[in-house]
Formats: sequence, structure tokens, C-alpha cells
Amino acid sequence: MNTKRLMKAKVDDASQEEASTKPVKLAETSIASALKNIEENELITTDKKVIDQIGQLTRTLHDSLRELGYDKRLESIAAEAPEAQDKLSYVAAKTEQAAERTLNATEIAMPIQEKLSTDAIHLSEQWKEAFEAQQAKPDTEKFKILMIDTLHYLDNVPAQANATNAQLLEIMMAQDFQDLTGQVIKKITHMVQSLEKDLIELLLANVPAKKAAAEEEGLMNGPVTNPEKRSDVVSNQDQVDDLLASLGF
Amino acid sequence: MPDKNLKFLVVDDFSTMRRIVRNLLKELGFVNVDEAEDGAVALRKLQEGNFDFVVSDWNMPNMDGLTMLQNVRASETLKKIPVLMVTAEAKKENIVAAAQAGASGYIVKPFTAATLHEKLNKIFQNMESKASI
Repeated sequence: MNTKRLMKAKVDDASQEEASTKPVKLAETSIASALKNIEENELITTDKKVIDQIGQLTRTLHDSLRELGYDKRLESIAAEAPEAQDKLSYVAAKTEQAAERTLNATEIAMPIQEKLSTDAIHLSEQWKEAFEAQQAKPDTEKFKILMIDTLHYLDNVPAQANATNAQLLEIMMAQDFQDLTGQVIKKITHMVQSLEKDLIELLLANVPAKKAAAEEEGLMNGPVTNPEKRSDVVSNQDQVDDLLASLGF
Repeated sequence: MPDKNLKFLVVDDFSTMRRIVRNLLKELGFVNVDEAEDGAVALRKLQEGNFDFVVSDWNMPNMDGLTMLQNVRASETLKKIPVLMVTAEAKKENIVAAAQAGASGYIVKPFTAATLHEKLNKIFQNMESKASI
């Protein structure tokens, strides 16, 4: 472990040394070649013109950004982005947790309900059998056992019903994420709206109007969050079925 | 009436969705269910075990559901297995692509237990009518 760290430190040192000597060498060679080039041809002057122009444009853009106060706004937007990421991770974690809690509760409650139901069916069948047998040959002992079994079942029903109720309550409580994620999502929506507004203003102020090429979407876009605004998507199962039917499937 | 012992493979990268589908299948009486978290794992499992039915998501890492479906249909041993797509992808283009690739059914998320039941039954009916021919 320690040797590893030492080795790494050495490597870092070495690369730093290399880095510090490099610029000197580079500077030397570039000066030499520049001198040679200036003597040689005019081509470099046109190159230089272009570079100067780009430099000027960059300066103008920079200044106008500053004048309009966009630099500060962009800075704050950039600062908000990681925060939005944290918020979204929070939403993802909360919703996943809720889903797990709900599924856990359902998986606990379902067998309880199933047992209540099968036990009841079993008892009922036995009673019916006993009544039928009673007509042919009375057997009080059988009734006695059956009564004890039934009483036992009835005594157990409240506990099982309570257990199911507890799980229903758990499912209800698992929905508490909605309140929390709702608030967080509202904040992010607000942030994205102002980000969009700022960026559009910035673009309008600095870029000539040009029709952006329509973005090509692939086949993996996840859920459509605004189906009412689009005509290329379906918004429910009926529309899927209709489309497939129209294709002959 | 479909055989309750049909072996299902549920393919989705989200474990909660796999659990939901598994529970819905259990409600319908199908208890022989295995899971896979992406298309690549699913294909491997399909090649290993004799599955009778696949319920698959579309958007997954490593291998997506459409690619998996295409691989299933291209395989001599697997091509007859019904594949029901259950996905959030709702573009018409997606549905057409899935149908062309040989999907047996297409359900958009969010979906209900009734929808799953209905689509499964429809596929079973198709299987039976094909088998009787």
C-alpha cells in the first residue's frame, strides 16, 4: 500500500519535471521556426490575420457578455447545475425507496390474504361434507372437531387482518416521498426554466438567427413526459393497439 | 387455457419493475418466473434454460430489448418464443420497429394488471391457433 503510494508520488514528480522542462523546449523551437517562417513567406501573415480576427471576436463576445451581465448569470447557472444533479439523485433515491417499501409490504400482505381465503374455503368444504355425512350417519365427534377448528380460524382472523392492515398502512406511508420529491422537482423545473430563458437571451444577443437542424432522436428516449405536445408518440395503450392493428398485427 | 407451469423470463434493468411484473404474473397463476437485468443476460439465460415466454423492457444497458428481440428471432432454437415488450418508449417509430422485429405484443408503461392480462391472453390465443394449424 505504502510503496504503491510512494511509487505514485515519484511518477507524479517525474511527470511534473517533464512538464516544467517541456515549455522551454517548445518555446525555443517555436521561436526558431517562427523566425524562419517570417523570413520565408507571406502565408503566415494571412494566418495571423485570421487568428487576430478570432481573438477580436472572442474579446468582443467576452466584453458584451460582461456588459450585459451574462457572465455573472452564466456563472450562477453553472453553480446551480451540480445542485440540480444532487436534487435529481435525491428524487431517484426517494422514489426507489418508496417502490421497494411498497413492494415489500405487498409481498408480505398477499400470502396472509391467500391463507385466510384458502383456510376459509377448506373449512367450508369440511362443514358441507359433515352435513352430508350427518344425514347418513350422525357423528357428533366430527362436528366437535370441526367446531374447534372453526373457532380456531375465527380467533386467528383478527390477527391476520391486523397484519394486512399494518402493511396497507406501510404502503400508504411509503407515498410520503411524493410531497418531498414534488417540492424538489418544482425547484429544478424553476431552475431549468430560468436557465433556458438566460441561454436563449444570450443566443439571441450573440448569434445570427439560423434555423437549427432538427435533432434526430434515436429509439431509446425513455418515457415521453409531454405526449400532448407531440404527434409522433402514443399516449396510451389503446393507441398502441390501434397502431399495431393498422399495421396488421 | 395456458399451462400454469410456463417458464417466464422477465427482463428489465429496474428491480422494482421486475418485481411488479413477477407479482402480476403470480397473480395470474404463473409462478415459474426468472429475471434478467439486461438483454445480454437475458439471451444467455434463454440459451441455457428452456423458457416459454419473455416479457422485456426496451431501454436497458449492455443490450437493449429490441436488439435482444432481434437476436431471439434470428436464433434457430429461440425464434418461436413469444416476446412481449413492456416499455416506456412511446414513439410510433418504436412500436413499428418492435412489430417489424417480431414482437408478440407491445405494452406502454405505465400499464395496468388488466392490460398485461389481456395481452398475455391474446398471445396465448395466437399460440394455440398457430399450434392447431
